[in-house]
Amino acid sequence: MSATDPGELDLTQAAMAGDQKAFGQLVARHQASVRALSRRLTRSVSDGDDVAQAAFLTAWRRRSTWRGGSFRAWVCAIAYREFLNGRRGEISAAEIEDQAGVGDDTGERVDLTRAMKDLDDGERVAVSMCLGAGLSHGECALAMGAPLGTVKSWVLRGRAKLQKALAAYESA
Amino acid sequence: MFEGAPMANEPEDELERLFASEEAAIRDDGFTQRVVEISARQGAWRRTAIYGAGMAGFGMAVGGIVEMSPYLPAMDFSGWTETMDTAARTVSANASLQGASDATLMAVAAVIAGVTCLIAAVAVQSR
Repeated sequence: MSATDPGELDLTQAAMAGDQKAFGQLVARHQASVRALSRRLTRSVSDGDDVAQAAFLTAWRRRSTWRGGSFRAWVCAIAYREFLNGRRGEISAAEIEDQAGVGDDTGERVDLTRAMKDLDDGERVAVSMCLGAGLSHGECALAMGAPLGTVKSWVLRGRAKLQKALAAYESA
Repeated sequence: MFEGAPMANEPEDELERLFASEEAAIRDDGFTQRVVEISARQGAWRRTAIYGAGMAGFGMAVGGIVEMSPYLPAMDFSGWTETMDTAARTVSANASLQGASDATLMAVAAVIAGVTCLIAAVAVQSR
């Protein structure tokens, strides 16, 4: 589902013009991506869902500021700002457990969550946005307010660290 | 209503497959419904507040005119434009010769302020 997908584009344009039903369809389509990203940013299921909800509501309220492009990338950028706007808080061990132990998580997903903890902040955000939410490096750079080259190296380093960590978990 | 929407990503490698699988495990569980309901409530509240403020501004402008009525020249609508024109000429010709023309200008300003409030309300609402 890309920004160039005509269905997606029509839906986004309708939602940005104030069509609540179209907005609902967009939320349904992208809620998993945005919630997954927010959970990775906050390292908590409940806080992540709060950030994701706030991001969608901000997107609806500020829909006149949408300037074209991918709706998902736009909401992910808003979610990142929501996360930075004081919703981050202190990360307790319980919150990390909250994410790692969610519902029907498989072993490999728990491993990914553990491996993500070892990434630097920039790497974690860039990897979550680019590999997780499927944003392009350019969209991620715009969302994070970071130079494109920096984002590319964060993703590269983060990916290498994750692959190394996952291989280690697998062999253990 | 919003359940079962298609997923957004197509994984390309093992790592992306893991991310996609993590994302696929997130069920909607009423999240979308909640967001839509809250956004609808917020919209209604915003509309009420903005139109309320606009109408209050317009009401205050009209109230101001009523309050100033003793000081206004006779409100003969046929002579209204002429009165305004005269007032404008008087003010531009000699600032010391104000009085009734001042009141007229204030009334015009109040009406403009009221209309501006309404236009601003509509503009802000549409944002």
